Amino acid sequence: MVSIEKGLVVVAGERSVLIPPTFITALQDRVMKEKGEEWRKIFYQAGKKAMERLAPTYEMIMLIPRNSAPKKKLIEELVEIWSWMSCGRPEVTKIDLKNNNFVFRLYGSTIAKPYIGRGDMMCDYLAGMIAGGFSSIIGKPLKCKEVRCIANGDEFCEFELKGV
Amino acid sequence: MVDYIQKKMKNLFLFGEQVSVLDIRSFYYLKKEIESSVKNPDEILYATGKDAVREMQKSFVKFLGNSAPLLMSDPGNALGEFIEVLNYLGLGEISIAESAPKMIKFTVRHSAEAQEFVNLRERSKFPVCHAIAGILAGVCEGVLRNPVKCTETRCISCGDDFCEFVIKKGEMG
Repeated sequence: MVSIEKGLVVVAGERSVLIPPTFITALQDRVMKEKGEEWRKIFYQAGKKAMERLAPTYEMIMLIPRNSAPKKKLIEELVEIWSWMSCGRPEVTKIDLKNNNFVFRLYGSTIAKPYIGRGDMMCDYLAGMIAGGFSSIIGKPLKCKEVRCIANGDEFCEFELKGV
Repeated sequence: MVDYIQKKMKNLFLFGEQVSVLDIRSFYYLKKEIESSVKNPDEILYATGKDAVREMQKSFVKFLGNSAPLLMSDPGNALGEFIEVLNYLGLGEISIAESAPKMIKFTVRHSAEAQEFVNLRERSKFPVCHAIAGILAGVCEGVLRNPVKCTETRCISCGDDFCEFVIKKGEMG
């Protein structure tokens, strides 16, 4: 799943870079300083746009016959790919395809870790990624909200997805 | 060299510190969203790259332990070693093209920050690798212990064959 060669890192068939988690949080902090609470929308949109395009093209997803595969299987594969992103341990705790209702958990979010003690939800970039990834996989627009966060004193970060 | 990067379960560590994976398409959309939202996106990306590498260098020195002072006492050697490390982060193939008393020139082939522009056939009027410029500035400042300024002078997003970065020693970043 992960290939590291000189000049080239490939994860799940996608060319990638290895970054210290502080790269994202430092970027967030600088945008926050200029735009205030609007930083949330900016990072949510960035994550959403990226994953809407990326999720359907992951090698592991591409190998699954789209017409016959259950959507639950596609979601599980997507989460398996995300587990290799080294940004926390992901888990889907609710899949309700009938009502487009999902719950996603991330243990040890590397984006939230530097903000522990802040008393706020801080994983808007991840929320956008989850919204974009799930929406593209199930073929319906979803919105994602972080409802628990380790930066807010919770044990894990939890995200609720609902149909738009 | 890859020994600097360790894999524990599904997590990756560089010099013992966890690193995350960001695919280059996500990097592209993150840059685009920031560019359309803030006043000085280039400066923000440059400063963030510089900060990130500064933290990495601290971990590098800690990781090397007793051999760190010897390596850091020879700036040329330390710079070469750290560039080798950067090469395994997937930023592209980074090499020192020229090193003179007042200037260092780097080339980066297949820059991770610009590659998606090429993939999407999006031609930029100006170089776009601001975070990588910040990273190279941060590396040089850490090794030379002096402020530097890094300017990207060629970029694959502008149609060049590779990206080129010039560091002027003694100029404030």
